[in-house]
Amino acid sequence: MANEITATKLLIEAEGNTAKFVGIFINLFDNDPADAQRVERLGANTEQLRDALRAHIGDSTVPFVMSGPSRYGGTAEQRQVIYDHLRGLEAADVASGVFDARMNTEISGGVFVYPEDYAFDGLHFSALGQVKKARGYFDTWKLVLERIAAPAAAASPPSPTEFVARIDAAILNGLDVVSFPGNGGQIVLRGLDEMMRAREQYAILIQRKSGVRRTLARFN
Amino acid sequence: MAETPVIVVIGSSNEAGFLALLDDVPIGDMVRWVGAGGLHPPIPSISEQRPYEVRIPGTRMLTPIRPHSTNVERAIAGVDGGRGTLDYAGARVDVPVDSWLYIRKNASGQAKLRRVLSQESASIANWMFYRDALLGGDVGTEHRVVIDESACPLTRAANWLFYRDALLGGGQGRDLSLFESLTMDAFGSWGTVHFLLDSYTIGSVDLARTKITRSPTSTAPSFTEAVMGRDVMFFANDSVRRVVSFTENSITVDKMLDAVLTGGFCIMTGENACETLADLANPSKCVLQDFTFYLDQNAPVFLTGTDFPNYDATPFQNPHIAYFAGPTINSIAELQFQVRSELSSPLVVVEVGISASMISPFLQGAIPG
Repeated sequence: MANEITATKLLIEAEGNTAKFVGIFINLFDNDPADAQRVERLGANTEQLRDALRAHIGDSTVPFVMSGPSRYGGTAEQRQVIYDHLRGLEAADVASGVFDARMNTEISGGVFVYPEDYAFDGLHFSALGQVKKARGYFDTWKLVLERIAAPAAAASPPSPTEFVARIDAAILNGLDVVSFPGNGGQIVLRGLDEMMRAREQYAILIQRKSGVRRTLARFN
Repeated sequence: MAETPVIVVIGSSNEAGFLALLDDVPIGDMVRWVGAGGLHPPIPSISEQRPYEVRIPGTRMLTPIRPHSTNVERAIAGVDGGRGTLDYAGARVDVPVDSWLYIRKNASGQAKLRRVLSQESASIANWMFYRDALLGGDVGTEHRVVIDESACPLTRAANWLFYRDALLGGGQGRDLSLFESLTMDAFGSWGTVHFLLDSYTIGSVDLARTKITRSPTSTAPSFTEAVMGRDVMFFANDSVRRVVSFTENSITVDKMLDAVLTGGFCIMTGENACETLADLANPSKCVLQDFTFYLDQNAPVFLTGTDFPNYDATPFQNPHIAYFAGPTINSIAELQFQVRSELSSPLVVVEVGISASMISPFLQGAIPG
């Protein structure tokens, strides 16, 4: 990897330009849930890999977009632990992001839902899954860029009304992921279900606030 | 001095597009990637339309140059009725017996490889066929025969080269590893196949199938120090090995061959080519080339510019090269399309293969080469 980065830099410099690394996309970890030792080491080692890559590139803020296991390797619980590690990295670094590649892993009556996202081995992505993964990468990359560009804005969470508006915009635009600051960290909603559930909660908050205002107005 | 945006894409078999079949890509997506251009269906499904090649301007892939030798392209002027002999236009090129020709396209749409048995003035006669008995159909002027020597277009090759011998069986993918020293297991490119002129006939093979003595009737030169560390391609059983020692008339290779060999072999040149992981850091041994869709009649693998080589990228299927049941595709096509839309300058993509289980137990400290 280091050599390839070096060669890329030199080739671009030979053209009279400079290389600007705008993103690292990494889809690994599929076999890592195989045992507890790997699972436990994964977060720290991924952090080392990320930092070493950035150091070699010479830019500590290169967006680092991670995608974890989808369907194979270990159990669903082990895969969740891996995603927890990756999300920990995401939460600690404004330039890191996670795309949840566990697309359509629900089992309904013993049958995977939406199997078209997977190849006939039931483990690897199909062509459709590859396209979805690329879009997930891209959406996550965009979120990371937004966070990098506006850290100050990120510090002040939007109002519940703005939350709902953002979720609505994400749903209408077909985004797989939407993210904004809140609860002292970064709230990341993945998939339509999470977005809809969050939207319901925020809508309730808005109603409660309105109720409080109406009550205050009545008693004042 | 402008900034050229670069993205690095790292992944294992899932990123390599393992089992993600090209035929399953929605037409709308394919048209977005390659442009309309009358491509409907975007990927020709019939052999007459192959080889199929579309270059995507605006996105370039880092591509190591593979072992090769120089070549010259000649238009085919005619073939005999049995399609076993062809004439080519231009001056006679001395093509040694047993060297290989790459027929870029014939009427059946297949890029084919043929081996020279003998040649006459301005013609190459009496093919010994590798895959098919005869050239398919007529051969017209648009077809090219690639012969050795002269200017060498930069070869296109695989970037997914980090394989080791964790075998899954024939026709299956192999695990990717950063820990195998990079061996360019085969040579050539899909547009033009390059080959060395010196080829040998096997005389005998030892019991361990690692020491190969050339036939005493071979006219090729004796082995010298130059063969050390080079890759040897054996014609008969689709295998490539690396030379670890030699005598004047024999070579010893690094790993046992799969079967008792007959036929011949050749030793590939690595001049200006990536042969080791360290070479990847050498910009004279890599190129930035357009993101390319390529599909050949005989290709079991769909090339996206830097991933797996295919049959016709290499004269022989190589046991070290993963191949799948059909043309495959990974996420690069869609990702480069989306990312490029956000950028004002052409994009460069660096693709790196790594094992799916290498991240947790092994990676400590510095990045492996």
